[in-house]
Amino acid sequence: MSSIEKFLAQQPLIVHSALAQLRYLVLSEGIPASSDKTVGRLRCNVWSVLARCSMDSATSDYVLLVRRGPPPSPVYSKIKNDTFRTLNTDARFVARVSEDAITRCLCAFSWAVLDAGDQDSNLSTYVQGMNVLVAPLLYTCPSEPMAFRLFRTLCQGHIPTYLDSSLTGVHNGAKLLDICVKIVDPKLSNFLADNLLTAEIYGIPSILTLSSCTRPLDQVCKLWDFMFAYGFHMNILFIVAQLVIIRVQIMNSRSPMNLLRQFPEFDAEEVIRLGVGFVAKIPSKFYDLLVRHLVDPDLVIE
Amino acid sequence: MSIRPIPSDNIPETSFEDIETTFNGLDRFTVANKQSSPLSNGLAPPSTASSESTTFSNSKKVYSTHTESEDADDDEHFLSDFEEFQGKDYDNVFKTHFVEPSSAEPVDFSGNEENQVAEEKYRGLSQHFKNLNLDNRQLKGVPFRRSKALKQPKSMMDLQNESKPTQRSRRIQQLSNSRSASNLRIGSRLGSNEINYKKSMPTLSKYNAIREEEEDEDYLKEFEDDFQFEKSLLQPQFLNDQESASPPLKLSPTQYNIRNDDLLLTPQLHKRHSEWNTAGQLELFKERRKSAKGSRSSPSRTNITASHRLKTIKQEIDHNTPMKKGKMTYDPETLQWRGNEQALSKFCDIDLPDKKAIVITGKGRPLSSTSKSKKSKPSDMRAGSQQSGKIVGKMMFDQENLRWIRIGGEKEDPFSSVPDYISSLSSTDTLSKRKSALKRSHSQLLPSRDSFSSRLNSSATTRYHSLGAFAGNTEPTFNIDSKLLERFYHEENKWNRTVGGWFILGDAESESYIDEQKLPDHKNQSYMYEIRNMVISSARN
Repeated sequence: MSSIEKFLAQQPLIVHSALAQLRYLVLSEGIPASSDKTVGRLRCNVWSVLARCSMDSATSDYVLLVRRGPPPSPVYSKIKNDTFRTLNTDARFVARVSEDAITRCLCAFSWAVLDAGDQDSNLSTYVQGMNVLVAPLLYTCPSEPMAFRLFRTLCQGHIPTYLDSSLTGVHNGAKLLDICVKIVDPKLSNFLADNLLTAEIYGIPSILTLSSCTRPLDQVCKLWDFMFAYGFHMNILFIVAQLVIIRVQIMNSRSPMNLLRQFPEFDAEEVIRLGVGFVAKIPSKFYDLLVRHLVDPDLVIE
Repeated sequence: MSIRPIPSDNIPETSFEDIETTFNGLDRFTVANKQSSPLSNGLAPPSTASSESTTFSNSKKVYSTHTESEDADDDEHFLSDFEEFQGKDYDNVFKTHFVEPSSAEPVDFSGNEENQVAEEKYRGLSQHFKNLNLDNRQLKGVPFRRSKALKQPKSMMDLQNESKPTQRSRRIQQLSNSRSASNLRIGSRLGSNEINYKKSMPTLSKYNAIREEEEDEDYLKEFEDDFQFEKSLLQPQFLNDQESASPPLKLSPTQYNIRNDDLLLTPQLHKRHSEWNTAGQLELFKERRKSAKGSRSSPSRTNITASHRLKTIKQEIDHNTPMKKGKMTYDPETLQWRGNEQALSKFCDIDLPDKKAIVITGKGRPLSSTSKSKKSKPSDMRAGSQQSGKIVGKMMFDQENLRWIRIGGEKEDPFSSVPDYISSLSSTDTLSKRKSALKRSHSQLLPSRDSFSSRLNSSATTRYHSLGAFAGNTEPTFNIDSKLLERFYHEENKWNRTVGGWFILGDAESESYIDEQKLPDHKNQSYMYEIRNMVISSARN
């Protein structure tokens, strides 16, 4: 039994400090690799604890939403238009997650958003990319209701601005990505700017999906381990890291957009190490923006 | 009585069906021998070990021993034989079996001593049957076994019935069976229609050519003996079952094809069996399918080999044998089963579009316009239903409209305002909606009075939707089966056991902590700065 499992198994005396210890364990040791099911269950537990997402009555809530069937037709047709191609080139994902499960999750989410109305946020019932965003959760969690609960927590609690009607957070994230690249790697930033490649052009998928659009999915999960622990704003820095890793190829390429359209497969540890290293370079002002752009729809980045 | 060798000659060259026929003859004569002279019977030695024989030995010993020599199987045979006579035209039957024999030469019982006993019996019985015959002409349709005169010879057979209840039940089962090969064989023993048919065939075989008139007499006698058995045997069994259940079935001679049987029944009796070999007579045996086999009816057919003849016999039997199964009879001429016309008429009504269907078969069939015209007022229904229909408690089933109504009729039809979902549906709605309506049970289909627009808001429609979200959910994607659901709950419980403790205290503590620390973000984002703090502090060191 790994130290993370042991740590999770005992009820924490003080949740706040226990969470800090858990984060550190995730950063220092990571979630040990084992069988898909075991690691999935452990990872789901870690994610839910870190995200402060209780799975209490997750199943009954989910089943109630699913029983309502497909959402109104424009939403449902959008969902059905995307579900079948969700990570369909990833054999392991296709083997573990059915299209029906993705459909159910997304439809249940849209029902939940419709039920909430405009009280809380401006969440969209469905936007393209949600299907990819839910993929690592369905891939990891041992049950659909838990994946759905985590997805809902993630969307509503962690990245609400990413999923509003105008994708405010995503566009702010793109601006922040440009800024961070400029701070971290001015030469690469200049090269991209010379080729008119802004983050709006190449970075939106990675920003919106929290890098889950990049293969392989197992590495995405490790990236998510870290982001559940220390915040999804780190995703911007991880995208910078991925750019930096392939910077030579980009700068030598005649058509760098071809490289950036689909980021090459990555190693999560390397990306995390680089990304965390960039934190020190990011001024406090921009780090605040990174944190806030996830939740503050009124944030304006110049 | 040199009967036995003749049928045995026929055995080796016969087909399956014919073996039965010959054995029928054999059986018949065997039984005759048993009854007339048990000692001379070499084929089937009578069982003397039966306890019943001793019981009845005082009155009519000869007779009783014969009865006992019939084992359980024979009893069954008898019963199934007499089923043949049930519900038939008794005039014909009697004419066939009794009148002609009585007009024939008197039976000569001069054989041995035991035959004298049988002779007395025979005379008495033939008298009985003559009287009976007259009686029955007036009492058409009434089973002759009921007449008191015939109750006279009741002997151990009655007691046998009582002492063998299991046998009786077996018999009844057998009676309900259709005419299988074994049944055919059984029936032939008593000279019922099938057998007679087969009997008539011997004109084509050497078996008949050898026959003499004496044998015919003997055959008659034995036949009557058999008939006596049947009478006493059947009385308690069939009268109860058949008459209580339904009136005896009357079949016209055309249905039963008795005319043919009459001609062919016992040609030996008429001393003109040579005539039967003519081509015209053979026409009777011709198969009905003329197109393929018309050429066979030519006179040259008399020269056909024995095996060919047997084949013809077989076909004739197959196509002309009236069959009976329960109350149903098969009419080979019309190729139809009869006896359930009343039950069938119901379905004829349903086939008409203006009747409400018990089972809706054709999806595309238009029902709407006609069903409206057919619908009757509640008062009409009550009036109509009083003639026929089941009554349970105060409710009566309205056969015509297929619904239950109150007998008193004082209550208004509570569903009168509710539209008929299905009738207007078929005319106006889409196919998919029709399908969903058909899923509902028939009891939910109510008479229609409203237009389509009001029907959308009707209780029938809303009730359907209120059956639950599942009912309207046709997409399998959203149907979570019980197995999957079980897994969901299992995983949730597992999660609760493992990390549920992390959520007992809730987030109140951490939020208060954040408030105290005056962290930059009110939305609990302090942890997002942890990594920065770590990195910066490590960089300082």
